Formats: sequence, C-alpha cells, structure tokens
Amino acid sequence: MTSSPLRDRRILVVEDEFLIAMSLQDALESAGSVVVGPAPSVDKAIKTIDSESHIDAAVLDVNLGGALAYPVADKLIVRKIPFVFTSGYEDNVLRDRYAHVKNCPKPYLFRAIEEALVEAMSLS
Amino acid sequence: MDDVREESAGGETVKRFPTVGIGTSAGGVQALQRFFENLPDDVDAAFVVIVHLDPGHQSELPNILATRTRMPVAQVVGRVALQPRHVYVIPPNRQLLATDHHLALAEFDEPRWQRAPIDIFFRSLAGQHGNDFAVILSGAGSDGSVGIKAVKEAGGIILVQDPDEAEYGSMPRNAIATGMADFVLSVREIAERLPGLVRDRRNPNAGALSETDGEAMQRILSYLRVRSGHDFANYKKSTVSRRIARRMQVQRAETLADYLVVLRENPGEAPALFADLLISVTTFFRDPTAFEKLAALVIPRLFEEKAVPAPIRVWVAGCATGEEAYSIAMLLLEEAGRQEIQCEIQVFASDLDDVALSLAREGRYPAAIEADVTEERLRRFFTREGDQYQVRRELRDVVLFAKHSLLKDPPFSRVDLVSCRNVLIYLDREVQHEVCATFHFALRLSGYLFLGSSESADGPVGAFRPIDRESRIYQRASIPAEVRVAPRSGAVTFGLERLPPRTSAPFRPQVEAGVHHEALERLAPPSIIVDESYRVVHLSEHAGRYLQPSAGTLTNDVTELAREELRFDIRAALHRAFAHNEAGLSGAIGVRFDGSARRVYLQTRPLHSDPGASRSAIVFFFEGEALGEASITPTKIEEQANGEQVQQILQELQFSQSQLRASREEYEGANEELRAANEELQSVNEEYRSTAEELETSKEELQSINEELQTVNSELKTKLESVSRAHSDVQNLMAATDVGILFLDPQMRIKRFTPLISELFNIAEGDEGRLITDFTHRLDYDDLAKDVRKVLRDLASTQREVHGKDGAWYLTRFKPYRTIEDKIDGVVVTFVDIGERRRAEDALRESESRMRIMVGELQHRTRNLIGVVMALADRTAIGAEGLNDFRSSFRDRLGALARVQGLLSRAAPAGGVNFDELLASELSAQSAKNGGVLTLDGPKGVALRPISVQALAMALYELTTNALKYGALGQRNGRLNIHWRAETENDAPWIFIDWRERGVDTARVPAGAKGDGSGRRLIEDALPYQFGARTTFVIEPDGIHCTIALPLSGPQTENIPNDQLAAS
Repeated sequence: MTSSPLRDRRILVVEDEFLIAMSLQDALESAGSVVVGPAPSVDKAIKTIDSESHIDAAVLDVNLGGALAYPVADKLIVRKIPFVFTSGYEDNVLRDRYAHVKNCPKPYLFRAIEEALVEAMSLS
Repeated sequence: MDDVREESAGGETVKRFPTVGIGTSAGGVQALQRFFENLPDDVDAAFVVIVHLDPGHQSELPNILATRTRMPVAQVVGRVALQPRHVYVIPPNRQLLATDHHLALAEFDEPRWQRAPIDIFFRSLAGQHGNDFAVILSGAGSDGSVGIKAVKEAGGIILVQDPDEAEYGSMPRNAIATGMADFVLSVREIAERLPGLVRDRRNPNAGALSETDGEAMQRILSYLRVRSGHDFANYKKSTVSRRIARRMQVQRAETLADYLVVLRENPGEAPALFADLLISVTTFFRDPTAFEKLAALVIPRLFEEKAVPAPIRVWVAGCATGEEAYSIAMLLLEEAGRQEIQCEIQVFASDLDDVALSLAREGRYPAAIEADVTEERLRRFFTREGDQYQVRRELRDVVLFAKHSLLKDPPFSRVDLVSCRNVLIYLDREVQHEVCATFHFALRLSGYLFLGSSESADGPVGAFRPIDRESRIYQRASIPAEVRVAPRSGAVTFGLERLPPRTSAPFRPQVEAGVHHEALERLAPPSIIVDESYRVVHLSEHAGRYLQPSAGTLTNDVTELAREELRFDIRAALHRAFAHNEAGLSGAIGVRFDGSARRVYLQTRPLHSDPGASRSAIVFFFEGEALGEASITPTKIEEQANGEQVQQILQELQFSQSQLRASREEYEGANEELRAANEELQSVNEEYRSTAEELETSKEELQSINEELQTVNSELKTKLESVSRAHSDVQNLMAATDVGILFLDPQMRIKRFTPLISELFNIAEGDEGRLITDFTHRLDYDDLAKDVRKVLRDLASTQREVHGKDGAWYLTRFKPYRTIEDKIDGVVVTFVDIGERRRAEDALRESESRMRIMVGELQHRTRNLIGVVMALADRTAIGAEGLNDFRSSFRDRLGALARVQGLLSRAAPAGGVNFDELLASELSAQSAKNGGVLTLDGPKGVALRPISVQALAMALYELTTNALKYGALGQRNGRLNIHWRAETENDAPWIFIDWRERGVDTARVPAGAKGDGSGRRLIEDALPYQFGARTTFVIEPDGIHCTIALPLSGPQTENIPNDQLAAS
C-alpha cells in the first residue's frame, strides 16, 4: 500500500453502526492512521474528545442511534478539529452552519473518506 | 315553380298580378290555415302574411302554412321580388314594406307595444302598388284599420273576417268600424271569393271606362244625386270613374250598365258608392299661401275685434278628417300665444261623413304630415307615437267635431270665421249661393269667410266683400240678409229640401234716391218721405195721385200738398210718428179722385236713421175699393144725423182703431223677436248636440281605454303572480341555503340576507336598510367595506378566504348586483363555509410532510443498510476460505439481513418486534439440518426496540448457524436450551437471554472450523457497542454458553425528522 496522507494521524471515528465502524477502523488502520474510538453515541464521542489531548481529524456520522451528532460537531469546531460528516442524508438537508463541512453520503468508499479528511485537514 | 319565377322575371308580367296582404294577430294561425286550405293554388296573386310575432322567438308559421297550400311559403329574410302564387310571411321583430313590387324588411322604430306592422305594410302597399287586396283576419287590437283606408283610397279591395266567426273579433270589428270593409265574410268565403276578385280585377285607370260609358255614368250620378242629394257631376271625372270602377269590381259588375242595375236593386249600394266618393284626401295647411294670408289678415283681427272677452268662434264646414280644422286651431292658438290673450277659442268642425269624423276626433295622423306641418308646430301640437302623430290635448280640446249637413241642418251662429274649403266646388251654383247665404247668417257682423282656392263667395250679391281675392278670404258685408234653413223633417232618403230664402221688410233708411227707388218702388205702394217739419223729401212713383196742392204759393209742406180729405189724417199720423215714434195706420178715408171716390188708407212709419241725422217718416197710401155715392160724403151723414155726436163717435172710433193698430204692430214685433230667438235657440241646440256627440265619443274613448286598461291589468296580474311565485322561490332558497348570501345596495345598506349571514353578522329580521358597517361580526376580516367599494368601483367580482373567529373558514365572494336592465345596484356577498376543505388540505399537507420524512428516512435507512452490507461483505471476506465459502456465507448473512428487514417492515409503523418472533424466524429459517433437541423457554411478547432488532438478529443468526454446523443442532446428542426473561433493572426494562448448548462433541468439530468468529464478535463487541448490552460468550467442553442482556428502553428508531436536521 502506498503511503497515505493519513498515516500516523489520529482520527476519531464516531459511528453507531458497529459493522460500519469496524470497516472504517480497519480501513483507516490499513492506511496507517491511529483510530480514536470508535464512539457509537453523542455522549461517548464527547467523552472521547474530552479525554483525548490530540485528535487530528474526525469522521462523524450525523445520526447516532436516532440522535443528532450536532453537539459533537460543535465540540469539534470549538476544538478546531477538522472533520467530515458521513450520513445517509443528502447534503442539502444538513444544517446551514455546517455548510463548509464535507458530507460523504453513505454508502461510501473509503477513498472518499480519505480525500475528504485530507481536504478538511488542509483547510484548517 | 321555376316557370313562374321565369315568367315573373320577364318584365311586363311582373306588374300584372296583385298583392294580397293578409293581416292577423291572435287566433290568426288557425284562420290562416283555414284560409290557405280553401284557397285554390292557381290564384295569380302574391300573398303576404303579416302577423304579430314574439320578437324573441323563431316563427314556425311558414312551416305550418306550407302544409296547407301547394304554393311555396317563405319567411322574408331580405329584399325579395314579389312573385305570383307565392306566400310570404313576415319574420319576427321586423316590419315588412312593399316597395316597387318587392318586399323589404325594416327595423321597428317604436317600442314593442306601439308596433303596427299590418298598418305599416298596408300603407306601403297602397303607396306603391295601387289596387291590391287587404284581408283582415282574427286578432286583438286595431292594427290594420288605418292601413286598409289607404289601400281602399288607392283603389284596393278590403276583405274582413266576420268578427263573430273570428276567435278574436276586435281586429276585424275595428276594421269594419272604419267603414272601409268591402266584404265581411267567413274565412272560407274569403278564400272562395278572392280568386274571382283577382280575376275580375279591373285596371283602375279611368281609361277602362270608354267614352260610350259616358251616358251610363251620367245616369249613375243622377241616380246617386236623387238618392243622396249630392251631385257628383262636378267631381273630377277620373276620380269618379276610378271609384265607380272599384265598386263594380266589388259587385262583380261587368259594365256600367250592369252596375246601374246593381245600384238600383241593391239598397245598400248607393250609400256604399256615396261613401267611396266621399273618401277625400285633405292635408294640413292645404294651399300654404292662403293660410299665410289668413294668419296675417284675419286671425289677428279676430282677437283685436273682441272688445269684451267673448270666445272666438270658428266654423270649419266639411272638415273631413280634421286637418283643416286643426290647421286653423293651430293658427288661433299661436296668435293667442303671441298676443298673450287668455281667450276661449272654439272651432266647430262639421262633416257629413261619420267615419271621417271619427278619424278626426281620434286626431292621429301618419308621419307623412311632416311634409305639411312645420317642425315647430309638430313639436308644440303633436306627440309622436310610433309612426304616427297624435294631436295634443291643447289642440284637440279647441276643436269640436260634429256631424252636420251644410245644406240640411241649421247653421251655427255668431261665428267669427267660417272656413269651408273645397266643398263648394262639388255643388252647383245655385246651391253654392244658398250655402253662402247660410254662412252670411252664421257669421257675426263683419265676420270672415275662408274658401278653397277655386271657390268664390260671389253668391248673394253684396253679401260678402273680398279681403284678399286670391286667397279667397271674404268679409261679411252689412247688407241685411236673413237666411232660413228648414230642419229636415222625417225625410226618407238622403233627399235634400230647400226653402227659398225669405227676405223681410225692415230696411235701413237709405236716403239715396237710387236705393229708395230700387227697394221700394218695385214692391211698395205709393209713398212719400217726409222730414220732421212735414216737408216732402221724396215722392215715390205714382205718389202724386194723392197730392193736390192748394191754391197759393207752392209749398212742400205735405199737409198743404196732400188732397184735402187726407190732410187731417196725415197731420195726425205724422204727429204721432215724430212725437211718439209710433207707426200708425189710418181708417178708411174716402177720397174723391177724378170722378170716382175710393177708400184710401194711410200708413205712417217713422224712419230711424243714424243719430244726429235728421229724422224722417214715410207715408204709404193704400188704395181700397170704390165707394158708393151715399157713403162718400160724410157731409151728407153729418147732415142726416146729429152732426156733433157722430163727429165725436167717429173720433173715438178712429182713436180705438189706431190703438188696435198699435197693439197689432207691437204683437208683430214681438213675434218677430221670438222668431229670431227661436233661430238662436236652434243654433244653440245644434251646439249642444255637437257637444253631446263629442261627449259620446269621449265616453267611447274612455270605454276603450278602460278595456285596454283591463287587459293591461290582467296581464299585470299574471305577471304579478309569476313574480310572487319567483319571490317565494327566492325566499325558500334564501332560507334553505347553507351559503351565506348578503345583498347590499350601493350605499352598503342591507337589502336581503340568508340565515348564515345573520349568524356571522348578528343581523336579525328587520335590520334591512341599515348599514352593514354598523354590525359587529364574527370574522377576522375588517376590509369588508373596502372590498365592497372596490367591487362597486371596478364592477369586477373578487374573492378571498376569510377566517372566522371561531376557527371556521369562509370563502367570501363579491359580485356586483346587476338589475335586469343591467344596471349596477349594489353588491352580492356570498360566504361559503370551507372549513372541511381547509381541514382536508391541512391533513393532506401533514401527510405530505410525513411522506417526505418517510421518504428521507427510507433513503437514510437504505443507505445505512448498504453500508452495513458493505461492511458485512468485508467481514465475511476476512474469514472466508475461498470464493465459494464467501458466497454461501455472504448469501446466508444477506438472507438473515433480509429476514430482519422483512420483520421490521411488517412491524412498522407500530414498530415492535417481539423477541420470540425474531427467534422463531431465525430458527425456522435454518431448521432443515435439525439434528439435536431444541428447548425454548421464555415469555412471548417481549418487545424489542426496532433500532436493536437488526444487530440482535444478526447475532442470533450467527449463533444458529454455528449450532447447526458445529454445535447442538448439528449433532444427534446435542441439546440447545434457549431461555429468556424480561426484567427491570435500575428502573429500566431489560431482556436476559441465555443460549446454552450441551452434549456437543467438541472434538468432532474440525480444528479451525470454528467459523470466522463473526458471531462471537457481534455478541461480544457489537451489541455492547451499539446498545450498551452486557454479553458473555464461553465455549464450554460440551458446547457454547452465551448470555445477552439487552436494554429495552432508549431511542426506538434512528428516525430524525428533516426539519431537525436542517434547523439551525
């Protein structure tokens, strides 16, 4: 595998669906990233963010077991951690104030996540 | 019919056939059907049917008539050439005119109730064609009555249905009342008679009567003169012969001789011919210059000469249809206006012809009088009614019409002006003079006479002196003339009696010798005129016989000139004449003439002359019989008797005689006065009769007006009924409707409203007429007044939805209120309750948004599911031993996923899937390889959260697959116990699941063939990760033991509404 721009990056995965979280974790780890989490819920995610001193970027599922992930997103913005959304929703339904946040609609290929994360990190 | 068209198109032939105009109205359709049924098809005439049609409806009449005749029947649609053996029918809402052997249509100028299409057509027919036929059938009203006169004047023949046979008799009756009808027959008889009349139709020109007919004509006229007293010999020959020819046609007389026989044998024919000959055409202001002269020379003087306010009396003799009388009345009224004199004006108009008089009384004239009457006069004296002019009351009231014979009836008296135009020309010279004498009597002193342009009043010499000879205006001269006309007594025929004029004695003193000579010498006995001093002024012829001057100087004193025997009596008589102004007749005086003695009587009479002039008296000498010698000389008697005594007795006798004479004269004078008074009374009586006749006519008019009013009234009644029915319909509609309807007038006052309105606006019965803005309402709507004003301004309807304060919704619509006359008279506001609709709309909106959410959710779930599938594929791929193994494992897992989706979607939207169902579904799906014993133990109906079903199902799938492949379900001795229970832990519901396999020979399981570990991972990691479950997974020596504790509370689904996603 070629060297990924995500190598050695600490990436927070927030995803309620276990199988998807595992797949994403596997893929990130394959790319050389260090996965923080994964966290299945808003509470867990916020706890994780609070407890981790360094997170390079985050992948955030918008719908966490029927709860919106916006508090997590806000927390990430406060911490100035770049992140991307993944969701089964269309881009346009997401909240306006996250207009600048890239959304990778499910189902996604890992390459899409990878590119989106790189772009988010380069902008921040 | 083509041949007919060609023939008729060939020029000359066009004019040979007559037109039969048939006018009918109510009941006419039947009459027309009968008429055409009985009419042969080969009558060479064009038939034009004029009926009163409803202007708004198509007429079926042509089709109806077409079934009754083989002639082509067509409704007239434009200008069309008349053809024989064709029937033309008037179309609705048009008037039909005959022009130059064509028919043309024209719009009606007058309102519907004034239309008289039959009159219009007949008049146009008369004006264009000459002798045609006019038929009047059943109908109401009087349309046609004027028209038939025109047709008849033009030489046409008039046939009228018998009113008793007609369904509606008034139209025929009115037509007959004009006296114009030649035939009054049943419809069938008309149809049978008509072909003959058409065949026999004569050329109306006088040429048809050949020269040899002259004698027969003379005989006809003489016969008529005998019968009617009217000599028509002075009529224009063409007129007379045309009218006789018409009568001949009516009577089917081939020659004049035949007609004379008819005239003699048929007692009705002479009056009929007489009436035909009397049809006269007169016009307003005929001979305009003469009328101008009359207006300039005479009319003003009539006013000026009225020293005291007495009525101005005018007599129009022979007034015919009244034009002349109205013309003079107009001049009088104009002059009265100019001089600003309030003066009663009476115009007596008399004529022989009853029919003409009734037309005159009616005072309706065709619009053609515009040619004769100035526009100003038309405006002042007439009102336009349709195509006719009606004389205004002001003018009508001035003129009194009466039937009166100039020759037979006593004349009117003390008349200021007599107008008698174009009457004298029909009379012979002798009668002319007589009529003039009548006028002389009728006129007041220096009254005026106005004659026709070819007449003159040279009549009794000196009776009239010309004022303007050219215009035939004369003034009554002052010579005495007294005319007596004897009233006709019990005369049998039209016969006319004449009494010779009686001239009477009283003369005005005419001192001129010539007059004296002429007046007296011829008739009177010898006489002498003497002045106050008894001087002889003049002697009549032979008067010298009674003079015998005494000896001495010649004197002209009559008492000395007369014979001695007469002197005493003359002196006494003259004394009485001058002193007492009395006439006297002496007794017999014996006078001895040359040898013979005769009785002589003296009559003395004072002569009245103008005041200031010298007085005079006349002495007549009447010579009596001769006297015998014995009685001649009174001296002898005196000698024989006692002279003194006799003398005294004689004197007494003489005195008594003279007294007797005086009283006789007085008596005669009184008698004379009575006669004059009688004359006067007769004239007055005549006036009363005229007035009575006038009243009678007025009464008839009133009666007919009353009848008309009754018709109108009954029509109105019917209309009222239908209106009140419509009104009750409206009332019921208003009461029954759920729609709120509000009628407002332009000032926004309430006119009418429905029950819903009274709820909305708090209006009650009796609030009609109040302003709508004064009422509170239960609407969330303050712009009502504004909207109403807008509708009134723009005249366009608007609508808006208005919210009621109680939550109801109303569709409010504003429309201008249009009256039948298309006038805007307010606004109609309707309120329709649209609450239902609004609710349905709301529900629809809601379900639409739900649908949108569901679609979004579905999309989200599908995408998530595919993500899961992708992850599942990844996981399966990791543990797979080659592609085949991957394929079967992956397919089975997808199957499990599909099953759980099925369960979930069946459970939706209630959401709950029970654990026992989920378990049964997983077990039964894979029970094919059942090798061991399965024991299930747990309650049914433990509802799982939908959000957790999928993961749990996948875990159960993995456990079952393992048990089938390697565990309790795959081995004969294997036993699987699945035990579950629902319990509350820390106030939250949980489910505890215990999966225990026993009797499994684990050694039989090939090494490394423990699956990919997916099941274990799912149980140990996924369930705790996703749902906070507590799980254990232990491989005991005799089989697997797995426990799962899963919370049943928390979020049920993953659904997040779109608006939450998007809300900021």
